Amino acid sequence: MVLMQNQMEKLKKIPESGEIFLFRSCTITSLYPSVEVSTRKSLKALNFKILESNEQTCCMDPLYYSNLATDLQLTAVMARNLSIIGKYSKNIVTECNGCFSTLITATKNLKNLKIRHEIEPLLINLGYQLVNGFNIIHIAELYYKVLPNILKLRKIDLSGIRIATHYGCNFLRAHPEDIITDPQIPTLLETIIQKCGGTPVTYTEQDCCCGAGIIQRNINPDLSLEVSFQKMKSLSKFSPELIITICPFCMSTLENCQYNIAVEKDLELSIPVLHISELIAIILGFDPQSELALDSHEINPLPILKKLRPIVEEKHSKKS
Amino acid sequence: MAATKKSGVTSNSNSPNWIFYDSIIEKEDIRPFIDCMTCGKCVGDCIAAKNSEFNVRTIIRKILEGNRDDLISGDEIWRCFLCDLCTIKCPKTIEIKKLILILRKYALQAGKGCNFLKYIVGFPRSFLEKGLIVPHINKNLREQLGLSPEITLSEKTKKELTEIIEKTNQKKDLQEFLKRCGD
Repeated sequence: MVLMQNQMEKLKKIPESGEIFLFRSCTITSLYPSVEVSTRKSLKALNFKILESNEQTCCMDPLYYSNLATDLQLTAVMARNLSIIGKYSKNIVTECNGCFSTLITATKNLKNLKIRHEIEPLLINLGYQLVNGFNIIHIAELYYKVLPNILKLRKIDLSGIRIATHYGCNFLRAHPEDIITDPQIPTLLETIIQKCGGTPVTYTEQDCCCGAGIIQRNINPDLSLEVSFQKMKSLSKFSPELIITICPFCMSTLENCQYNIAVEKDLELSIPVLHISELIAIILGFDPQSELALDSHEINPLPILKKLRPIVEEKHSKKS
Repeated sequence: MAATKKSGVTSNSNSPNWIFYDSIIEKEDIRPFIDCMTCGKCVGDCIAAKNSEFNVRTIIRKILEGNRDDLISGDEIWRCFLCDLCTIKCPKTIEIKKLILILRKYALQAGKGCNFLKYIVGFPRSFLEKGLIVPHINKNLREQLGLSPEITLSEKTKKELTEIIEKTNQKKDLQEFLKRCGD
C-alpha cells in the first residue's frame, strides 16, 4: 500500500501490542456478539490488552446524523467519554464506522475555542477535565498494522476464496484525511485478504453506500433497498463467496437486504457478510461455530468457511 | 448565474436572492459555497439522485435563488444518504453533507420532517432511557459466548449524562421531538 504523508504518520502511531482502549459499540454489543467475541479473542491473541469502561456512553452517531444532536451536544457527551478514556489510554480502538466518525468529529470540535469554552465548565462541574491527544484507530487499521504478526500466528489460510470488501461511507469519507488508506481507492482490506491467502474481488459499485444512509432504511425503505440492490447486483457479477465489511451497521444492511432483494427485485443471493474482526478470528484459528457463533448471522457463513484449509506448519520456510 | 449581489430583490427563477444564502453563512458553521461551479459532479455519482428527485446542484441553486420554503417543506432533502461521495468529488470541496443537515434542521424547526423522522423515534427514546442506543439485546447469545448478558451504564454515568444533556438542552430538544414526532 503506497501511503501519503498523513497516512504514514497515523500508521506510525498505531501500537503493535499492549494496552488499548476498546470503544464499545452499541450495535455490536446488542446485536452482534459474534463480532465482539471475535474482537476480544483476536486482540488477545495479537498481544493487545483491552481496556474498557462501563462509564462510556453511546457515541451518538445515529442521533447526530438525524439532527437529534448538535455539534455542541455531541461534543459535550463525547468530551466526557474522552475524559474517562484518557485515564486508561490515548489509543482508542473502535470496531464501528459510526463511533469512529463521531470520535474524530468530537476531537476536532474540541479544538474550536467557542465549543471548548461552553463544554469545559460542564465537565469541571462533574469532576472531569478536557483531555486531548488521542489516536482514534479503526480496528481494521490496527489489524493492518499488525499484519506481520497475524501472518506469523495464523492457523487458517483463506484458500483463494473470493472476497468482496465494503468499507463504508463513515470510514472512507467522513474524515478522509484521518484514515491510513486512500479514501477513493482503498486497499487496506484487500492487502490483508491477499496476504492471508484470499482473492479480493473488485466491483464497480465499490464506493457505493450499503444502503443504510444512517436512517434511510427507516425513513425511505424503498430508496434504501434500491441502493442496496444496485450495490449487490454489481458485487454479484464477480461471484464473491464472502463479503467483508468493517462496520456493524453496514454488515447488518448488506445481510438483511438480500432477503428483500430476492423477494422484491428477483435477484437471489445468499452471500454471507462478516466483520473484519470475525475474519481475523477465523484466520487466527478460533472455531467459527463453538467459539465465535458465526452461525448466528442471518446468512450462515459456515459452509464457505469449511472450504478453508489449515496452514501447514513449515518451520524452515518463511511465509510472507 | 452572475456572482453579483442584489439585496432585497424578490426571487424569480433566474436572478439570485442572497438573503437565504447570507443567513446560512452568517448563522451556521459552514464554509461559504458561493463558488459552486454548477459542474454537476455531485449529481453524477449520487446514489440518491439516481433513484429519486434528489439533486444537489438544484438544491444549491435554490438556496442562491432564495427559495427557502420549497427546500424546507419538500421531501427532497430527506433522500440524502449522507454518504459524502459528492463532498469528495466536489472541485470546490463544498461541505454538502453539512448543508443537507442544516436544511433538515430548518425543516424540523418549521415543523416539517416528522413524517420521515417518526420512524426513528426508537433512537432518542433508547438514549434518554438508557444512555445507549440499543434496540434490544441478544442476552442468550451473549451468555453462550461468555460475555456479560447485559450492557448497562452505572448509575453515576446515567446521572452525569443526564446533567450534560440537560445543560446542553439536548434533553429538552429530544423530549420536544418525541412529543411532535412520536406517538
